[in-house]
Amino acid sequence: MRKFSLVEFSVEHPKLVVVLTVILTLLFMTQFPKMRTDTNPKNMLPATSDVRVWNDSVEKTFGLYEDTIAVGIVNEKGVLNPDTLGKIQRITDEILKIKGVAARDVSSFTTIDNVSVENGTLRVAPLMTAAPQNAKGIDALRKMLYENPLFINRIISKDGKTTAIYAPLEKGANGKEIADKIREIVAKEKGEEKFYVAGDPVARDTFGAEMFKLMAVFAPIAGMVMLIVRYLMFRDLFLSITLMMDAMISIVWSMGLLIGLGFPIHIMSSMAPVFLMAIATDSMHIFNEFYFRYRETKNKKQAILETMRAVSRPVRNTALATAAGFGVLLFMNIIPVKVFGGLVAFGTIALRVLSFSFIPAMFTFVSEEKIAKIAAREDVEHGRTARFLRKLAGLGADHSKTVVAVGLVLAVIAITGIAHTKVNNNLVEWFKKDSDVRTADRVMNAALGGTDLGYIVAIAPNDDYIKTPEAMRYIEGLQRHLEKLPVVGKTTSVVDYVKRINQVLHDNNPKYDAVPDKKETIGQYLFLFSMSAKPSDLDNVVDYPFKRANIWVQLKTWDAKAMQTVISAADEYKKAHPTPMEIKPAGIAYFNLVWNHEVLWDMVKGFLLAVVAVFCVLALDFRSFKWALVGYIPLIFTVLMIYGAVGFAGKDFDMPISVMSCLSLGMAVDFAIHFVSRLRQRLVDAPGESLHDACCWTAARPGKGIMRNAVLFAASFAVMIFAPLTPYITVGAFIVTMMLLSALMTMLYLPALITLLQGWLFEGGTNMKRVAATSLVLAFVLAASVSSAADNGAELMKKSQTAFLYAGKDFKARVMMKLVSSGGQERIREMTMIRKNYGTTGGEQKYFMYFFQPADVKDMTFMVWKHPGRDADRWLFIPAISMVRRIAAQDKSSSFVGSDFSYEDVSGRYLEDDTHVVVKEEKIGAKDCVVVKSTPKVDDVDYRYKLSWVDKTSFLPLKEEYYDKKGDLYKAFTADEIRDVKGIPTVTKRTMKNVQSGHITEVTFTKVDYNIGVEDSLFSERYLKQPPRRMIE
Amino acid sequence: MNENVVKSVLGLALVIITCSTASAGDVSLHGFVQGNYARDTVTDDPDGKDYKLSEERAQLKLDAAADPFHLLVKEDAFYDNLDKKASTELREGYFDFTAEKWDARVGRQIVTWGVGDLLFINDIFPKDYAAFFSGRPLEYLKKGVDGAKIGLYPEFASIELIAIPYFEPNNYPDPTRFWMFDPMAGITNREAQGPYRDLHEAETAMRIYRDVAGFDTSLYYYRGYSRQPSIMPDNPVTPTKLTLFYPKLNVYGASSQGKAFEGVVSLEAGYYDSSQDRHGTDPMIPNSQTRYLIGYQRQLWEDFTLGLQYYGEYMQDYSAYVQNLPAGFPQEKHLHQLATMRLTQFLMNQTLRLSFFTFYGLSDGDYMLNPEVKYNLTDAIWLAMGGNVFGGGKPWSQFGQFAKNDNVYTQMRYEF
Repeated sequence: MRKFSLVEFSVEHPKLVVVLTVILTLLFMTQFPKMRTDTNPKNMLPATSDVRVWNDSVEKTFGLYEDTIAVGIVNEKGVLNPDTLGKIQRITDEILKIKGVAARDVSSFTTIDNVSVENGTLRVAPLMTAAPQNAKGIDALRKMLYENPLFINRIISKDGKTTAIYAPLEKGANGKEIADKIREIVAKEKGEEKFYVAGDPVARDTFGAEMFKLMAVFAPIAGMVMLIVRYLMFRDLFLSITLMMDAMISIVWSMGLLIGLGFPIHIMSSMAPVFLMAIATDSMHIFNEFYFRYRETKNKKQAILETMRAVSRPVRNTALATAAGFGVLLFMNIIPVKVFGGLVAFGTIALRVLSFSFIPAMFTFVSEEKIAKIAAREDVEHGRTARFLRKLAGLGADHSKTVVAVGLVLAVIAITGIAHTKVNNNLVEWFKKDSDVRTADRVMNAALGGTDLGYIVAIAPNDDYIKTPEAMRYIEGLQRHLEKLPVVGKTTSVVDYVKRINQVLHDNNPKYDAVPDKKETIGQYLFLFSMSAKPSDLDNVVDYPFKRANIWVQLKTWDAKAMQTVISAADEYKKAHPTPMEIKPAGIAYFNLVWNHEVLWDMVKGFLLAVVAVFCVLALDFRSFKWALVGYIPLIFTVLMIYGAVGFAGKDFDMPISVMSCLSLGMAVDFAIHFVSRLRQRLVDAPGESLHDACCWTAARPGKGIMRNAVLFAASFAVMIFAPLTPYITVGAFIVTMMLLSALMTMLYLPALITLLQGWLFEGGTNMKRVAATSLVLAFVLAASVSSAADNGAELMKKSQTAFLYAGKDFKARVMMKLVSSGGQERIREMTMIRKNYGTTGGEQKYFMYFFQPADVKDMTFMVWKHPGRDADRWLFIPAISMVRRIAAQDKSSSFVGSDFSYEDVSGRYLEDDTHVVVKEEKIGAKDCVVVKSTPKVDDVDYRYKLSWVDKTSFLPLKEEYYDKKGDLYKAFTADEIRDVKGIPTVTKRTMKNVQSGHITEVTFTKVDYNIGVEDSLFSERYLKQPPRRMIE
Repeated sequence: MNENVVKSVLGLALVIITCSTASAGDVSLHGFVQGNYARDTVTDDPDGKDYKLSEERAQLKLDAAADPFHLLVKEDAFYDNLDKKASTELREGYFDFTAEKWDARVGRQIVTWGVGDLLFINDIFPKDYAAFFSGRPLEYLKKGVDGAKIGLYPEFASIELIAIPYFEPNNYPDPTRFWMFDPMAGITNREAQGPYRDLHEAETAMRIYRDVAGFDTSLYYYRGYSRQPSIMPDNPVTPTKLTLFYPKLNVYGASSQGKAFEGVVSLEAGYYDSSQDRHGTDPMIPNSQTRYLIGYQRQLWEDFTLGLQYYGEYMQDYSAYVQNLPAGFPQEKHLHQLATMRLTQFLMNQTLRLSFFTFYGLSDGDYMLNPEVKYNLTDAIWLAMGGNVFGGGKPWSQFGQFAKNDNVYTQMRYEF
């Protein structure tokens, strides 16, 4: 019961498949012009998320801006000189003209309000209207600056060497674009001043833009590196490009789908192509195996089909595991994470579909000589890599206890490291240390109050409460408390204005640098101030009904955890000092904290879900929890090691690292799947081999594919280490380490674990037990019989099938079948059977049969095109109505013309459908035979296993016994007469007996001939209708 | 007369071939004798008899070959117990010429095209529905055509060209044997116009076929006449006399059959171009139609096969048809749909066959059921028993009109 085989279809119609793929790809490409990008990392959280809604409302209440750029101006000789001040003035004027800058609220020497007293009345006016030209003017300015605490550490540093211009941005303005314009402006100023452009929007938007650029640059570079490495591995450009195309096509499909569905490409999804490219390297296993197979079969088509058969299961399951690993992200909260997960999962599936269609199709276009040349170099025994891997596996298997113990120790150490993990995220630190963005930030944070800004909003239960002295004092106390934190550079609130006014109105008497005692006084001051100052001055710190106050908290670092400490400190203060006011955080620093927290923990949650999903896939794939568990250990171990190292290195566990967790899982599991699947298959295919040798074989052969996969992957991602953004470096380093580590872990630890746990793994009622037990018995039997040691069951059955069903190029015989019922009634089926081989044993064959007897089927013809591994095509010609039609019959369960032979008995069962195990040796008559037990891998036939007595010289089956599900003999075949025809030993008489019903079919071949030159055209509708007489006689 | 011409030509050929090949021994003679009876189960025939069929028949099949020639003659002789008369019938009689890239077959031959199971779209060759409904072996559903077939086999495709000089209509159940719907039953004065058996009624057909992606794919073309007669009243309001005639018909079609979904999938479609009524305004001539079928056949377990088909006939110019349809005539559906199911189970080493075939009219709700048991007593003798059950739908629908014709049948054959 085989399904439609995509691989075979692709191999048979390679051009069609390629054309279809190209068309499909073009269809997806048509979506590309619709592409929209969203480089704003803020959009990781939707505009409707709580934090954004709250921040928006705070900004609205206090007339604040979401983002502010800080331009730092540093002069080592002090900024208070006519020249620098002139520059400040010019720069400020230019900044005010930039579109997207909220000009009315730019803070600079020339725009900031200063509160002073003139003639006994309060005067609020810009600090500096024009740059003073003489020392007197400078001194006056200095005095004004330093006597107003609101200015210190905001627009002037205590040492007077640094000043800043704060340019708030209108909603939706791009911070990177504006920063670039400001850089242009400051570049025009010559002199000893240094200029720095800093602030969250600069970092964020620069990062978003850079990330896109990097993706556009990096993905192709990574692709090229992969191409080159592949070329070095296989020395065939065409195939290397094919593999590359596989990745490219899936990228086009998934991105096309994403765009087509109307999603913008977000920073997260912009990473998908690289991920897909990484996942595509899994098709390496197909290549790896293909060359090995080609060496064995020397037939390209055959090799492709066999390769796909051998690797299809692991390849399919790794795809499933990877898709599951990413698919779980669909259940996350953050939309870009969901989109990303879905995108990569889809791409992974697409990759696999391509692996089963496009890649085999492309294989067929490669010339045989070329393959032969490459294949010649693929040698399990002698390759250096293979030898190394074999040794590695041997080490694991031989010193399993030591290896596992070392692993346990390392795991404990790693867990300690993980315990040290610091969860943090710092957007600015995504840039390299000496990058403009980060330098600017460092300099300004050192000199001034801090570039990162958070708010603490105090919400009173009723209007005008803020005007009360207790509220004022409370806020002041909170400010002082917060300022004790090392991360806090400066805090500003309405209290600072009140105190400033109080002081200036009392002749600058420092005694009055305090909150007045009466609510009325405070109200009066604030009223006076609002009459003369810019409305935004007061609005920024208090709302009109005086119900809410806003404390600005300038932070000296962009660490997300900085805001966390501010929030904790505020909470702490509130606990210690009860108040009717509610204290809530807001601002960009708070947003970063929440954003970072949500994305990070969403990824962690996703990772944990993926752990479960991938485990399920493994368990399903291996059909065993035990094996899944064993396969999982190197994977978990690798992940532990890496995160342990991250913890020890003191590297923050930030968003890029959390994103990697899913990839690491999805990728590293591939190695385990390949290793375990192939090992278990090997144990079945080569039953005489010890577990140790099987492990070594697996490490040397599929292991080579694993290693290649890892190296390829690592090579292409190593490029990332040279990227200008630290997350890329992190990702690059992470992947390189992870791939190499997990490949080595797989090769070392799986053999160790399997060796150590073999008792546990192979016990229980699974088939594995039987296989293992049989193989142990067989190991003994085979060791005892030196002569046949080389022949294992599968090889023997292949030889037997070659001799029995594939002899000669073609074959013809008059076949007389006598069906005898248990009651003795006889029926005759007489036909001419013509067979032609297309390919080697197990390959395509065509059969043509013409019936002579019985009379009711006389002149009937029957044609079979046998395909390896799937049901044959069958046509029947019914002469009475001159009709040719296809018939639906299944090889495995259909009796041939009512005889005891099934279709499979007549034309041969596909060898790979069974596991073949040599059971014993026995004589039949005078002939030495090897007895092979063939057990169907899938329960698709009516017998449980078959024993074949294969003649050691002719390889013909002299006897076969079929045992039913209960283990009872139910069908027996005997070769009753063997004759040489043209030097080919041929079974000319045979019998099949149904032991249970007593029905017997006796078959006699006469007029046997080989190599008669049967033409392909015979197998056509034309000759079915009019069989050529000379052929059927 | 025509039969005689064919026979004498064949006779001559036979003599020549027999003589030339007698020494080579390439002559074989086979045949059978059979009894075939079908008894009414619901009511007697319109003429009062209680059998649809009762006959004994013998067939001789002569096969002679001398490359590149081949001759085949199948001649039946039978005695009809209902009409009490004996007769002979040339079932097939042709000779073949075979060359490497082409061949030719001339004479009476059975041609079967298309991929439907008892549903015919591109198989426009004559059928005997009377035989089918009255329980004859399936091979009698097909009638031979007298003509020439040329087969051409270039590399890219195979081509069959058929020329049939004399038009041969289908054989429909006889109103004396079968109860059927007749819209103008009262008018007994009926005159058949044709077939004239002259070359004006020559038919041509062509089929091009090849494998396309693992599917056996054919294109068809036919130019000739509808094998079902149309009825022309002398006066549309008060008709007194009906003339039966065969309107012109062209068919263009395609079919494909291949392995898919673990079974065999068949697809076929054809456009029936009714060239004498292209606008659909003539109520007496069928409108052009598009016919299609989808079939799926699969072995579900050992020796059990399920076959399903869906068939549709879509009438072109339907509004013109409705407008011009005389009052009182049953109105056909715009889309006439049908489904069939075939179940076949072999038992006892394929000597016993149980089969069940049913037509079900999806549009009309009528049906035909055909259960059958066939047993090969020996290699030479087989016996089949079955039944035909009709019903459902309207009194004029395709199978519904046969509701009173249910029968059980027996076939017994000795073959040699």
